[in-house]
Order: sequence, then C-alpha cells, then structure tokens
Amino acid sequence: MGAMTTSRPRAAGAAGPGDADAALAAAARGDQAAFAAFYDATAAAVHGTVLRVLRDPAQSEEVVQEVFLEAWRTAARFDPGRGSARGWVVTMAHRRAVDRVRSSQAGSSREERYGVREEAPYDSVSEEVEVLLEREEVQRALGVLSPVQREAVDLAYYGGRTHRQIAEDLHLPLGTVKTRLRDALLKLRDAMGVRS
Amino acid sequence: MNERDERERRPGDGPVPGDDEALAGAWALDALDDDERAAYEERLRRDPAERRAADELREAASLLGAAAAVPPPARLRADVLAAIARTPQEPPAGPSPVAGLAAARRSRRGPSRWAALVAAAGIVVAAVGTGVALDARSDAERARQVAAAQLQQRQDAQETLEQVAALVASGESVTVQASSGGSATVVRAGDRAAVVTAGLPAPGEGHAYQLWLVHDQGVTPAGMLPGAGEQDGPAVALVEGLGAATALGLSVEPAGGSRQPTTTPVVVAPLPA
Repeated sequence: MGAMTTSRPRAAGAAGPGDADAALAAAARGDQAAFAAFYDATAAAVHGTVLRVLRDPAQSEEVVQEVFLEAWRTAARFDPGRGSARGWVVTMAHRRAVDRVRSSQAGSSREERYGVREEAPYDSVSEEVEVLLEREEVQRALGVLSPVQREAVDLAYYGGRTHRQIAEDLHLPLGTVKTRLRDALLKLRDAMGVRS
Repeated sequence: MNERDERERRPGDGPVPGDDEALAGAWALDALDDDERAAYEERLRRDPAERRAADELREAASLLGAAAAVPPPARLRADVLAAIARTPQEPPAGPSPVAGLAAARRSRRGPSRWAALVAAAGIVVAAVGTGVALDARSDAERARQVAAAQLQQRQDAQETLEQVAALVASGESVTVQASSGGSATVVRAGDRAAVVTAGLPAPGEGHAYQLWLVHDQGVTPAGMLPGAGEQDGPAVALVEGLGAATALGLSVEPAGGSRQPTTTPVVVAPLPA
C-alpha cells in the first residue's frame, strides 16, 4: 500500500475516526493492536449500519463479527485511493446485511421485528458522547436531502430495497428512482466534502 | 417536492447521464439486483472516470451508515480480537506485476485456488523474464500465422481476427505454458490484448475455456475462448478494456461461462504494461 493520495474521495465532514485509515494500514501488516484501534474507530458505524438493516441484535452481532474478520483478512486490499477505511468497512457491512435481508430467511421475519429497540447498551459514557456527537453531525448533513430524496435513500440503504422495489413502493417510474438515488448521493457527497 | 433537482446536471459528473450513468446511485446504495450489479461493475472496470464517480457516491452512501452508528456490546470486541488472532491474513499486494494477482483472492468461490496461483505466477514471471526475449519473435511469428490462418476460416469473426493479427504483429508477446499442457501467447497494445492459444487439452463435455482479467478489484470475466482445446488447434481472442488489469487468466468453465472462476486457471499471463 502506497502513501495516501491527495485526490481520494472521503468524508471530510464526518472524519471522526480519521485514524481508521492509518490503523487499517498497520493492521494489514499483521498488527493486531492496530486492528483493535481500527475496530474502535469503526465498530459503531458498522454495527449501527447492520442493525438498522437487519433489525435483529443477535444476527447483527454475527454479521459485525464476520465483517471485521473479513476486514482483517483482506486489510491489504484496502485501497486508500478509493475512499476512507471507514467507508470501506461500512460498505462491506452494508452489503452483507442487505444480502441477508434479501435471503428469504432474514426477509420473512424481518417485518415482525420492525419495532425492536435499536439502541444497544453503550459501553461507556465517553463512547456514548462521541458516537452521539458524530452521529448528530452526520444526521445534520443528511438534512440537505429533500424529503423525497431522503425517503428513497432510506428505503434503499436502511430498508435494503432494490431500486425496482422502491419504484413499486413509491409508484414511480424506475428511471425516476434511479436519478433520485443518484442525485441524493451527489448532494450528500457535496455536502460532506466527499470530493476528489 | 423537488423534481427539478433530479434533472439537474452537474459539471464534471461525466457526459450524458443515461440510464447507466444513473445506476451509480443505486449501486452505491446496494440497491441493484445481482445481475444489474454485475453488469454495472463490469462497466466500472472499463471506465475509470465512472469508477471514480461511483466510488465517491459510495463513500457518501457510507455516511448513512455512520448516521446510524450504535456501539456494539463490549464482548463483541473481545470476540473479534480473539478471532483475528487465529485468522491468517491475505498477504499485501507488492509493487511487481504479480501484485495485482493478490487481488485474485477476492474470488469467492475459489480463494485458495487463486491464492496458489499467485505463487505460481511468480514462477511464470520469472520464466518470462529470462525466456521471453528468446522466444518472443518465434512466438509472435507463430501467433501471426495462426491469426492469419484463422482469418481465412472464420468470416464471422473477421474483424476481431484482423485486430488480433495487427496486435500480434505490433506488440511484445508473452508466452505462458499452460499447467494442463499447451500454451498461451498474449500480446498487449494499450487497452487491448490478443490471446492466441495452442495445444490446450479439450475442456470436456459441456465446458469451455473462459478468459479472465485480474486486477486490483478482483477477477472479472473477459469472454470465452471459442475453439480452444478443439483438435489441439489454435484459438484466438481479442480482449478489450484491459484498464488496470495486471494479468490475464484462462480456466475451464461451464460452456455458458461463469462470473468468477470455478476451476483452477490453467494460465495466468502477466500483462506487460
């Protein structure tokens, strides 16, 4: 892995766990302590992502564990030129969670769990504060989205719906959904400084 | 409602925002179905500008995950750290042409096979380093003859073969002995490569040879190699859109082709830069 390039896309506005990149780079060389630091910097985002999609704490923990194992195994593949380390691992987590939701097993009982309490117990007050602050910052940034953009993006990212399903859900042409999702992310990208 | 917003063009977001272009958002949100996703990622592989734009959207999408952050229970941390202590890592990619092959391990179906290939490729590259200079001319000559002969036989593939012949005549070739017997000669010119195989064994009933591009993002299909392994004869293919691919692989797959290699590739040829 070479030095970080200056032209990488990244979420500057939400760079709370900015150490994640360096930690992951060290972890790629077998440094377990560095991996622990990477875990600490990203676990809340990874866990929250998965929990939001799966809505089942036990399954979510399982997936989080799988994701971090994969991150450990494949740390050397992380390409800092393509995004942040946190983006990398959150993407991995989201993909796995969505795969589970779309498999019949997870999908069938998911709606029944819809009302499950999402908040896992915090481990410490400082961690809670840190996570809440960062989450609040990111959530504020999501405010740049129009209500219809937010609705579509939520259905996709948190609901695990495909763009076809969203088109059906919202009674919209597929093309409209495609551009709505894309434009929402463009807006988010610009708002958060995820920019080359 | 903000419909106007959705039609807005942004400079630097690429040329015509057709359907494919708009797929970047759904892709970044994991909102494509499997087939669409595979097709779009194929496009990303061939289009660095689109790849870059899509990566930015994916980074933006990951903020939705950050917005949902909830710390996991403490015991999970202990479990994860205990698990990684028992789990070997995949080695990092190095600076040589073999480096890209490390990414071959991304293959979900056959990580160990492709991992073994990385080691094998080291041998291949070493062999190329010492032997190719001597063989290049004769291999190129043979490949040129093969391409010319095929040109006469297959009118339906005439254009492809002409391009192959032109490539073979112009570029520097690398010849790799296939692990199953036979050989493959690869000539690269810019974003395209010509592949000429000879003497490959029959792929077996219902099977065919499939080409793969190995690059940092993993292994992607690069088309079938029709005619390979039939009557010990030569086969020719033109592979386009090499992008950042560092090697070209060849494996036996079900006749319809696979999305990822399902058998140990018989050839992994480094692509000269």
